[in-house]
Amino acid sequence: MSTQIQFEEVVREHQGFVFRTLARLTGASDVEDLAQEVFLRLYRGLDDFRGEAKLTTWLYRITLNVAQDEWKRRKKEQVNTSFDDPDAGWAERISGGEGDAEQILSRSESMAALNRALGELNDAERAVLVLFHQEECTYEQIALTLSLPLNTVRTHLHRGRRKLKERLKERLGERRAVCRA
Amino acid sequence: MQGLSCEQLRSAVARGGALTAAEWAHVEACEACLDAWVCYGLESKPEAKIPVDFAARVAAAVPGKRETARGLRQENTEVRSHGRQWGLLTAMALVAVGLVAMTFADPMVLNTRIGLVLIGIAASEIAGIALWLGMTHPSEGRN
Repeated sequence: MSTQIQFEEVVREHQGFVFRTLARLTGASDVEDLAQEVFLRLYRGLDDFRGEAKLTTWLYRITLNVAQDEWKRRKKEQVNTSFDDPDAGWAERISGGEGDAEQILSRSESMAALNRALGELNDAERAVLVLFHQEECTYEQIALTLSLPLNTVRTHLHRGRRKLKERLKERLGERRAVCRA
Repeated sequence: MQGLSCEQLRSAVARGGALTAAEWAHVEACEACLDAWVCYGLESKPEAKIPVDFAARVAAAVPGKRETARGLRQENTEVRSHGRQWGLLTAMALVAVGLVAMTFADPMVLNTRIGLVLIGIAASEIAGIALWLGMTHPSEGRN
């Protein structure tokens, strides 16, 4: 019983990070099932946990693995993006004059664009960007979590940010062109 | 740049709301402001809908799985232990039968060099069996 209470405390303490990271990495708002999978994997592995790494580092790793599995699953399914892609149909919404014509993108739309661009990066770049910016992890923590050399973490961070900016620039250009048309 | 300063743009970004067309044009044209907007976007934590009872539900779900896993481990150990016990008994019986057979065939054989070697082998086998019985399998000692 005490084990159950202790584990409940662990879940409560880390659930915010797990939900946020899964939401960011998968682009979905409902990630409860995935979060549950993360904690189940954590629990199943507790016997092997010898405290060599911090629990948070280990949890980060499991969360990233679950998010990556979800990406792979989605890729396999090849779902029609027009249904679940929040980015889809922007151009039409903008040119159709919905909302304030001056505000070409609402905050949620621009965040969706960012998440979409993030989704186009490779796994390592995406994970490094999220851990560094969103979770405020240090280079050392990220290196430990992803089992990468420190310099590789720095490279992924800079390259990922550059790619992200390029993709967003392209999208903004496309949307402005649609607005002018 | 489009009549908008970088400071104005960054305060608009920090405000959080939607950006105007002019502000987006500035973001598109100004590398530093695009960088600021990207960083702001990445640093904004997504809203996560966490059910109030999520932790309790997850904690309630796990002990069953843990017991099952432990039960399976014990079951495997028991099967291994039964097999090992039968192996030990058979080996002991074979050694005993061999010694008795040799004694009845020719009692003097035990006084020869070959006899002494055989007695030595039998004694070391029995000592090995005793040691083996005294040790536990690593997986049995966990938890």
